[in-house]
Amino acid sequence: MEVQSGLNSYLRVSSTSDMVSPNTTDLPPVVVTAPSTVSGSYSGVYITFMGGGGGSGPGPVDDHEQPIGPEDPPPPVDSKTFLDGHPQFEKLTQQMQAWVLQSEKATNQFADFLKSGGQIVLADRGAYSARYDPNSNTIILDKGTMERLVAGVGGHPQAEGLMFFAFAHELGHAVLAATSAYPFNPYGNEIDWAEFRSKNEALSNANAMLIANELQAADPSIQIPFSGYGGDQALRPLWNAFLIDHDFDSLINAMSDMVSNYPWPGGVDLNGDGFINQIDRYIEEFRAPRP
Amino acid sequence: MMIYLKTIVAICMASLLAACATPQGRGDVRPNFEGIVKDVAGAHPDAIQRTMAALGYDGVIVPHQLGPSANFADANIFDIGGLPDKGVWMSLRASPCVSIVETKRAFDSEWRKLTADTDQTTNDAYYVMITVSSEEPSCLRRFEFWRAKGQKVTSSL
Repeated sequence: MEVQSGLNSYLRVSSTSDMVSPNTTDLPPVVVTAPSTVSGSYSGVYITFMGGGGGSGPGPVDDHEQPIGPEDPPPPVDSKTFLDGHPQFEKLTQQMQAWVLQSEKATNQFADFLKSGGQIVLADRGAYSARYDPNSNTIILDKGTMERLVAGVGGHPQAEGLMFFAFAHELGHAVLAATSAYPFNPYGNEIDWAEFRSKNEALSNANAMLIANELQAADPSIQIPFSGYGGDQALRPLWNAFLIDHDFDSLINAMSDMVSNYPWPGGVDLNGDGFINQIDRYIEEFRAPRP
Repeated sequence: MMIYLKTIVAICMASLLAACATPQGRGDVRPNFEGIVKDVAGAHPDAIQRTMAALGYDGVIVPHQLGPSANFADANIFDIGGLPDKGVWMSLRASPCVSIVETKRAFDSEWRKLTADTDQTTNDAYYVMITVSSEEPSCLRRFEFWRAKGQKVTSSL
C-alpha cells in the first residue's frame, strides 16, 4: 500500500522560518519554529509549503534604475501589498486576514493562489467546513460559519482558529494543485488513488500545522487548534515529535494512516478489507465516471 | 432463611436503584435534545462532554464532509462537530420541529441578533448561538455553544 518514491534522501531546506520574531522583550517567550531541515520522501512538498508555493516575495533589489519599456513585465508586487484591499482577501474575517498577514507562508501562499486566478467562494458546506475545488481553483468556505464569525465578536477564540485551520488546510490543497510537488501518477490504479488522496489530506493538514505553528511561535496567545481526522490531542503529539526529529515522512505517514482509517459513514466496503473507511470513499471517487 | 431472603431483596433493590440512577448505564434514560439544551442553559460545567457523549460524537472533525448524525425522539440531528472541552455544534432537520421559542425560553439570559438568521446569548458558562430554519422559521436549524469563560450578554439589540 505504501508508495515508494525512491526519494528517501535527506535534503537541506533553506527558509526564513528560523528568524526570531522582531517583537522581543526582556524575557523573550519560548519560540519553537518549524525546522528548516527535514528528511524523507516528502521533503520537496515541505520546501514548497515553506517557500509559499513558488515564492512571491518582492525579489532582489536592484539599485540601478532601469527604464521600463512597453514589453517589460510589470515590477513584482510584494505579497502583503498584493493582498491589501484585494476583494477576495476581504472575504475572510478581520481576524483571519490578520493571521494571514502575520504568517509569511500564508501570505505568500494566498497571494500566489489569487495571482493564479484563485477565488474565495462562500457557500453552504457544513459548519466550520471548507473545500478546495481544483477544477475552478476555488476555496469554498462555509457561508453560515463565516457570517457568524464576522458578526460573532466575543465568541470563543478557538472557533475562529478552527475555521482558519480549515482555510490553511485548503491553501495546502491549492499549493499542491498549483505545483508538481506531489502529483498523481496518471497510470495509477484505484489503490494508488486512495493512497494519493490520503497523503494529499495529510500534506494539506501539515501545511495548516506549519502556518498555525508559525503564528503561535510568534505569539503564543494565538489559539489555533489542530484538527482533521483526529483532534488536537491526537495531532499535537505528532507535530511535537516532528519538531524534534524533523522527520516529515513520519508526520505525513501517521496522519495519512489516520485519514485512511477514518470511518466513512454510509459508505460501502469497496476494497473488501472488512472496514468502511476513507479508503473506500476514495476508491468510489476513482471509480466514478469522469467528464 | 429469613435473613437470607431479606439480604437478597436488599441486594435486588440496591441493584435496581443503581440502575435507575445511572444516567446512561442501562439505557433507561435516553438522551434527548431537550436535555442538551437544559445542560447548556443551566450552565452545567460538563455540558460539552455530556453533549458529545449523548450524541455519540468522538470530537474528530473530518474535512470536506458533514459531521455525523444522531436521531433523538425530539430532534433529528446531523453535521455534528466540535472540539472537546471547547465547544459543540449541530444542525437539526425541520422535522421533528425543535421550537425556537422554547429553546430561547430555556435560557434566563437575553438574546441578541447576531446575523439575519442567528441569535446569540451568553450565560456564566457558555456562549450560545441558535440559527433559524429557512424551511420552517419557527424551528431550530443549528445549535452551537462554546465555553464562554464568564462572559455575559449585557445588551439586547
